[in-house]
Amino acid sequence: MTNSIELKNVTKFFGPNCVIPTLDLTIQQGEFLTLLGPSGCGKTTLLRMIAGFETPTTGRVFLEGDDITNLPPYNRNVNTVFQNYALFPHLHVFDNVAYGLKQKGYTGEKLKTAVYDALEMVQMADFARRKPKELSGGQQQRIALARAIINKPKVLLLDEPLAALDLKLRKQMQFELKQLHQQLGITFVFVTHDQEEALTMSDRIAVMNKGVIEQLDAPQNIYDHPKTKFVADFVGENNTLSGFYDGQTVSASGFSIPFQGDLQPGDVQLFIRPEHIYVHLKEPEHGFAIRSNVVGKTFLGHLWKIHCQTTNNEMIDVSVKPDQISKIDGVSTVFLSWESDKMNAIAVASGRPALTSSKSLFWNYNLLIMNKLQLFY
Amino acid sequence: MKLKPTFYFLFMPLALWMLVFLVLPYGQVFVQSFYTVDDFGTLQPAFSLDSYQRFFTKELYYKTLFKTFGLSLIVTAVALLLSVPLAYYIAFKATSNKTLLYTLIILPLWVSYIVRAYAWKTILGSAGILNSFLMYVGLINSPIEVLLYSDLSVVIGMVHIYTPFVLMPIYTAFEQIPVSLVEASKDLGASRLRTFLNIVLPLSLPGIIAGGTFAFVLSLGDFLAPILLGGSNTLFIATIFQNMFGTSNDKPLGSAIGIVLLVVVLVVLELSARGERKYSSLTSR
Repeated sequence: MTNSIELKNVTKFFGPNCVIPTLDLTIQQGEFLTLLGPSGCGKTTLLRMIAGFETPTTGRVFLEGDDITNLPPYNRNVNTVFQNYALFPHLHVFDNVAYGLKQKGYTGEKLKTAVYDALEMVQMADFARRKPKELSGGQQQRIALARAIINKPKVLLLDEPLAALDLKLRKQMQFELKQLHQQLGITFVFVTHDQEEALTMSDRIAVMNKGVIEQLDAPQNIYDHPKTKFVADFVGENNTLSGFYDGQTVSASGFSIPFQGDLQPGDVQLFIRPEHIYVHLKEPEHGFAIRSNVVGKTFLGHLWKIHCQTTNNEMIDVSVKPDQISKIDGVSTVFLSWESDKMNAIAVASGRPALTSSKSLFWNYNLLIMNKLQLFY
Repeated sequence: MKLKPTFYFLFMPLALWMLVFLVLPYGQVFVQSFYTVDDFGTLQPAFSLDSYQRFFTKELYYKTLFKTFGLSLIVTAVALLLSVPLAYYIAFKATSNKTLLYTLIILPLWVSYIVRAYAWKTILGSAGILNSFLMYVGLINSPIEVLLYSDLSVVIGMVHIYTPFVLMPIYTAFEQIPVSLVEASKDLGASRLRTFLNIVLPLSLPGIIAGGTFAFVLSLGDFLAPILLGGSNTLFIATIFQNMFGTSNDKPLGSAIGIVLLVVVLVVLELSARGERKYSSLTSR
C-alpha cells in the first residue's frame, strides 16, 4: 500500500506556545484514520496543517510522496468538511456544491451533471435551489460533504463534522460516512473527541494528548491493549490499580496473578474494564478475588454500574446486567475477580518523567529559537 | 396599547429635541421655499413655485447640483478604494496591532473638522508644506497653484475627513465574516483574489453600501470643505445654499435648494437601505 499522507518531524508553535512537539504520522492510501483526543490536544492543528491552513514550524508534509508543506490550501488536492459546515450563506445549495468545480473552469451541462451527482450521493438533489439557512443541521452537513467530495480529493479531511448533531442523527451520519468512504475509496482523516465515534468508524485511531500521538492502532487494539495510561483512561472506562510486576506475576493489595506482557519488572499500573470484572457473593475457592465493599450503584439503562471500594481504599467500578442486579441487593461485601488476559499493565515511569521533561524542555527551547529565526528569513 | 407615564417622561426630552431642532426648522424651510421676496429682500408669504422654477431653469444652479453630485461620487469612490483594502488588512491580516491600527483610523474623528480642513490648507497652500518640499527638491520651480482652492483640494479634504466613516462599517462587515468561510473557499481551490471577489466582497456588501452612503451623503451637503479648501474659485451646491441665506438674501431659493437636496439624500438613503437588505445574507433570515 502506498502512503497517502506523511508527516515527518512536524512541530508547531503558536508564538512561544508549543502545540505539537515532534510528530511523525503516516496515513495509508484509502484508510479511515481518526485523530482522537481531548480539546486542545493538537488534533485540529494537525488536520489544518494537512489542509494547508497552518504551516508546520518545522518538518515536512507529503501528499502521495509530493512535498506539500508550503503549498497554499487552494493548490492541494485535499478537501475539508468544516466543523460548522462553513457553507457560503449568500449562495444556493447548487452554487455551494459547484464552487470547487467552478474554480477549475467547469461550466454548463458538465458542471450541472457533476453537481447533481454529488447531491445524489448525499440524497440532497431536491434541495439544490435552497439557501443554506433554509436547511436543518443534518442537511447542511450533507451539503458540506457533497461540496467537499465533488472535487474528487485524494484525501478528505473531516473536522468534528458530527459534533453539532443530535445523537440519533449522529449515529446515522456515522453510518453514511462509513458507506461514503467505501464508495469513494479515498483516504479519510477524521477528527473527533468522541471515543465511541472513533471506535465505530475508523480503520486506525491515533490517540493524541498534548500534541503527541500516544497510540496509533486499530480500534480493537486501542480498546483492548492501551499502551499508555492516557489511552487507558481516555478510551472507554477503566479501573486503575497500583501494583508490582516481578517478571512473572503482578501483585497488588489482595491479589497476585500470573501476567505475561511486554513489560519490565517494577512498579506498574493495572487497568481493568468494568465489563470484564466478575462479582462473587462468596469468596471463590480457586483463583484470586478482591474483597470489596459495595458503596453505591448507578443505573445506565442497558446495565448497572456497581461502585466498590477495596480494603486498600481503591475504587473499582463493575458493570452488571440488569437481570443480575437483584442478587446484589442488600449485599455489602463482594469479591471481584477477572481473567489475567483482560488486564493491562503499564510500567510506572519512576524517576523517568523528570528526565524526559528536561530533555523535551531543551528541545522545545531549540525549536523556539528556530521558530524565531524563521521570522527573520 | 396603554403606555405608562414613565414612557412619556423618558420620551419627552427626545421628542422636544426632535421638534425644536428637526421638525420646526425643516418645516420652516419647506414653507419658506414657496414664499417670494420683494425688491428689498423681505419675505412675502405666498404659495409660489417660483423658487423651484428658478432652480431648475438657471444653468448655474442645476449644473452646480450635478457637479456636486459628481464630485461626491468621486469622493465616495476614492474613500471606498482606500477603505476596502485597509479594512481588509485590519480585519484579516493584522493580529497584535489590530486595535492600534483601528484607533489610528478613528483618531482624526476626535479632532475638529475645521482644524483638519485648515491642516490641508497648510499642506496644499502655495507656500505650503507640499509646494515647499517639491521646490526644495527641485521638482518644480514655482508653486503649483492648483493644489489649493480648487476642486482637487476639496476632494482631497473630503476624502480625508470622510474615510473613517467609510472604513468603520466595512471593517465591521469584514469582522463578521467567519474565517471558516474564507478557508472553505481556499480549500475548494479559489485563490486569494477569487476568494475575495466570490465570498468576502458579496458578504460585506451591506457594510460597503453603508460606508459609501455615509461618504456620499456627507460630502453632498458639506459646505465647510468647499469654503475652506475651495475658496471662491469653486462652487458647490452647499455654498450656493449658504450664499442664498447670506449675501444674496434669497431665502425662498435657498430653501428650495435645501428641499431638493433633502429629497436627493432621502432617495439615496432609501436605495442604500434596500441594497443593504438585499445583500444581508449573513445577518437576516
